[in-house]
Amino acid sequence: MNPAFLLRRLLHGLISLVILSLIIFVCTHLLPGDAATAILGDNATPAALAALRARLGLDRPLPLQYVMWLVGVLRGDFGVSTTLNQPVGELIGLHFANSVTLAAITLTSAALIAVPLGVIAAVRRGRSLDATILAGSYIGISIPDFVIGPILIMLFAAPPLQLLPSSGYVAIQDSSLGWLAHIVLPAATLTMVLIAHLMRQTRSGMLDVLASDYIRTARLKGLPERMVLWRHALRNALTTSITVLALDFGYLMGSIVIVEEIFAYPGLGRLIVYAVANRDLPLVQGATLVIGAVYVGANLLADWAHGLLNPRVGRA
Amino acid sequence: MPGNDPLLSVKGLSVAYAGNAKRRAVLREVGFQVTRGEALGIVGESGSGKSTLLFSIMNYLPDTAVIEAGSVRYDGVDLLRAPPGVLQGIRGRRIAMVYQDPAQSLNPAIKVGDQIAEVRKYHFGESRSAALRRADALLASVGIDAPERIAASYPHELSGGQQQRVMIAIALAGEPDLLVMDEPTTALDVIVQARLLDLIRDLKQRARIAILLVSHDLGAVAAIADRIGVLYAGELMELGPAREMLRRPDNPYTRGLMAAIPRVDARVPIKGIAGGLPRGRGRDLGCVFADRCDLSVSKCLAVRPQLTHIGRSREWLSRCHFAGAAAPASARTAPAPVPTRLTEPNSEDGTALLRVCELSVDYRRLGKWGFFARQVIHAVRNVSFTLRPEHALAIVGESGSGKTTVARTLLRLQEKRAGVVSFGGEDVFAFGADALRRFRQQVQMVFQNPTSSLNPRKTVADLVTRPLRLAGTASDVARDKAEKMLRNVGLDGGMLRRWPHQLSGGEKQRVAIARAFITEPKLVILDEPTTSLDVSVQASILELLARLKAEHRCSYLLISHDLAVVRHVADSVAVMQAGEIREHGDVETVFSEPRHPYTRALLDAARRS
Amino acid sequence: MTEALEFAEAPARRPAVRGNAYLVVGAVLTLGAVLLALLGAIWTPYAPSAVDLLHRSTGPGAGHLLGTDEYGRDVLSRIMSGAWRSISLGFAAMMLAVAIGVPLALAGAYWRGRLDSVLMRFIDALLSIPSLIFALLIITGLGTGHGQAIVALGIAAAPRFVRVVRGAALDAASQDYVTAARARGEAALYIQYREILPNVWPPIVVEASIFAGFALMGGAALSYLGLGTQPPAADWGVMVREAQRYIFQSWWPLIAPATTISLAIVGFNLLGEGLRDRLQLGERHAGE
Repeated sequence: MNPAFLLRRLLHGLISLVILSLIIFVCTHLLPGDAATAILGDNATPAALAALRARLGLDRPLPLQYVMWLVGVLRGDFGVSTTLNQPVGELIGLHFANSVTLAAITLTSAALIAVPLGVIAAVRRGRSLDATILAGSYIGISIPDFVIGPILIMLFAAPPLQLLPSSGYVAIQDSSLGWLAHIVLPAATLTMVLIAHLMRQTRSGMLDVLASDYIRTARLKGLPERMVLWRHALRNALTTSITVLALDFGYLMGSIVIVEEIFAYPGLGRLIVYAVANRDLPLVQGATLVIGAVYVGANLLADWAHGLLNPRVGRA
Repeated sequence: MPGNDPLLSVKGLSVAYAGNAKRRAVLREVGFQVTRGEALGIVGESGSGKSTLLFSIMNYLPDTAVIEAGSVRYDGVDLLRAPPGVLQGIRGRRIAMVYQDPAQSLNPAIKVGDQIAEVRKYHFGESRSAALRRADALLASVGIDAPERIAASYPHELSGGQQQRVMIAIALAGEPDLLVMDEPTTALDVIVQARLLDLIRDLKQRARIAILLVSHDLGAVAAIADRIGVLYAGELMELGPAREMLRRPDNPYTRGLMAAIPRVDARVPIKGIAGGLPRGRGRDLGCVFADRCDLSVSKCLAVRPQLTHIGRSREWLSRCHFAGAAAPASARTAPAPVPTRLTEPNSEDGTALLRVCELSVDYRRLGKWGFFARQVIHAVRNVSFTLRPEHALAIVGESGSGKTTVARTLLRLQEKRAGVVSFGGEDVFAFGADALRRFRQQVQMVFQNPTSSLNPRKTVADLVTRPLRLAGTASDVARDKAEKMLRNVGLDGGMLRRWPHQLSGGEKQRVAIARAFITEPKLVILDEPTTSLDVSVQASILELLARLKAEHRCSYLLISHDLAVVRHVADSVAVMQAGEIREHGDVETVFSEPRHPYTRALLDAARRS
Repeated sequence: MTEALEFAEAPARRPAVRGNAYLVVGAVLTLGAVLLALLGAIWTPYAPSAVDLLHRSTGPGAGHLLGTDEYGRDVLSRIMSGAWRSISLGFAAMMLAVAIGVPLALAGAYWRGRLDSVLMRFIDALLSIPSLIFALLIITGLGTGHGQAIVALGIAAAPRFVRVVRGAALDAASQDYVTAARARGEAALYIQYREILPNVWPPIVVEASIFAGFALMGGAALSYLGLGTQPPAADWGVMVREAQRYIFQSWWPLIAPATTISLAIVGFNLLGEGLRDRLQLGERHAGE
């Protein structure tokens, strides 16, 4: 494959991240009220406020603050949380792994269920199976996670069943069963929503492929339908699926925020909500940037995979 | 001579589409036979049903299609009613198909060699290596040099001509008796087309394969076919031996078609067929061509003619109540007289309308490394020409020659360029706002695709009056002028209230022409004005353009790849290739005594048809 | 080389029945939701915040059609009042997204070149954060509250909108009628809004409808997180959050808002999908 293609994509990704950092900084600094007031409260003396500002570097002009932050990030220093007084990097690190685990489980289960369903729906287009699957997916994308989550809690964690815990987290080192029990409901919630999305997109990608001229050529070569599907259709549909997975990864991370909050699961999403609620700017900035970086990374992998599978793109 | 038993026998085939509640008949009682080793070419314009015919034979129609009646018999099997297992054995192996757009019809993710080898593996059980070796041989037999390299390539790495040859190789891989071809050369450039037609003719002779070819291009069909069938609005109008039919066609529709085709060899009068396809008329009433036919009498409108034998030679059928009668003495309306060509004045007499000096246009395209290494494409290199008032200059070239770029630059749609373009003595690129506005009223353009050039969300009135309203004319005055202009181009005033999608291709192009002429321009740029239209309509549009030029006393800059059209319309011609002008001069001279080898190649290719 | 000639032959097949079903169901649900919202804005059986400690967490019965919550407040009244809040938020956010996204998309498609690449680079960067998180980001800057939620959701949804509309706008911009307009010397704004936009509004309408649904979801999500509409205001997201805490006592306060949120979003989505099927059918008969 063309190395220039890989590098070009990498460059795009890096530029995106830089632009993202700028946007993040701008957004968090929209309001004039600053962190010093938020920390010390309304009764603080002007002197105390000024001292805190100087210490936190808030008295410098905004563009300079941005640059300093960015430079820090590039060196691995995300600053210090104003509410928790811990290095942001540490906080993120602690919670990141939990979120990644949740995301990985969700993606795998969703893909294993949704992709085959989407393909079947496309192949059997217009028949009752397709209609059912399609209807299911419409409903699936419409029911929000903060509705599914509590309902699952109601069904499994509340009386009469009380099978699973409704919140919290147990580290896998401490108890693998406990860990599993605490992760089932959050993962199930996320999976349900993701399946709906993924299924629809796989189906429409597959439909596009099936409608193309080269499938007609394959069929009119006399090849049996089975061979047409496997050899010709799936190969091309796979490339769309990969792009779709990357897109859904982004969607997943948005949902994770809510789901972690529902189940009090200590992940990056929960951290962000806490940080936003408390206007802890360094934490918000750092956590958001990390999420953005993960998304860009996922997209990059998807692009590279796409280039590998689709010769027209890879050799451009 | 081809064998006796028919290989393929189509009888009484009637197909309709049941799209949204209304059922529309597409083919009506079409029947013909193809014998072993012969080539049958079916000519049809848009709406004739020719593609539906081919896909019916392959039994590959969409769900909305309904086969109302008829049979397609191949080797004793009715393909329309055969079970899937039988069909699979025939498709690709006994009957193979070649499609119109090879780029779309090849799988972009599989190497070309594998796509050919697949046929051998499935139908003949060959191993992969044996099949690939066979693929190389097939590629060589369809005229591809370096077959191993091509076999290891992906479709998008090949040119259009190569892709189509690959498609033919795939078709031949099954060792079929019958090759079915759907507009195989339409998507290709003229020279490539000619070579491909040679290949097909060669294959027919060498391998004794029967060929069923469908095309709107009578020339392409004539180059290959032993027998020709003419399809109009779903009905077979004439079917007979190629050479005789082309010399003296019997059916009025065929005659009309042939009268509408301009020739490369000489400037002959051409005549379009008035009217358009029947729109949802009751199909049982009379001859489907009756309302457009010069010969029609009341019987034609009431009774549908059957295919009648014309006993001139071999089997020749024509669907007409006057079949076999001698050609009428004179049609009701004579073809428009060929306008006298302007002779080239001896030397520069200084009254040039448009002068182009050393025009060069470069494009930057993202190269391999994105923004960092851009490729420069020299679309136009040092092009110079002059256009006099009331003169028609044609720029001829294949795709990629730069001719369209020249046209766009003249209109200042392309700003970056080197060289001078002067109109009426003034530098076009130095115009201020006012001068530019005036310039734009004096230079108008007619585009290739009438559907694309008319905004579907605007009425004809909006479209035609806009240039005037933009210049400040009051709406009611503009509307009056628009009405007059529409009549001038052969449409009635009621057109104003219609929407583009309600018009046929020819009508749309007339609207586009009306829009171009409404500001009384001195120069009209015609970018492939008839390429998207059917032959029968093309002739009427060319007639119209000739008349308008004389009436409005304007100049034309005609951009075209079609040498016959150029011969018919232009006074002088410039031949472009790869951004440069290869030859330039008076049309008669250049066409009869071409000096540059590229011009000669173009003319040879065009003459093949 | 030659364009494919006009094909009066195979009409694209569209399962008209399915499209109509979606449209009808979606329209009914959406209309129902809007009516409920409008009603809830002016009248509810009880005051939504009226606390009644004597009748806490009761099931449905006389007096309280949907029961009461943990503070004795009438669930139905809170649902109706919440309907107004949630749905108006959905609409407002959607309109903001349209107001930002459409002009940007049109401008990008018209100008192409440098401007468009820069714009798309920007949009791509924005799209690399999930829109909910983008909304959270803006809330960080603006503070929490109903109005802030509208702005945050609207801005967060705009990039996706730009992407979608830009695709359709690019298609239109590549047609010859735009080239003809440029050749006539038409003003840039004329071409964008009088030539391109009329051809692009079907996808805009479809996406707007679907976005309204997602905006509603987003608004409720923000309220659920405590970052949007604040309690004690009645809002569907807030209701779900509170109901979750008392799930062991009664599940009516959870089921009610859960159902209405889901139905409303389903309604908007189906409306959008139904319109999409319909408009594609209608595409060929523009203007009739």
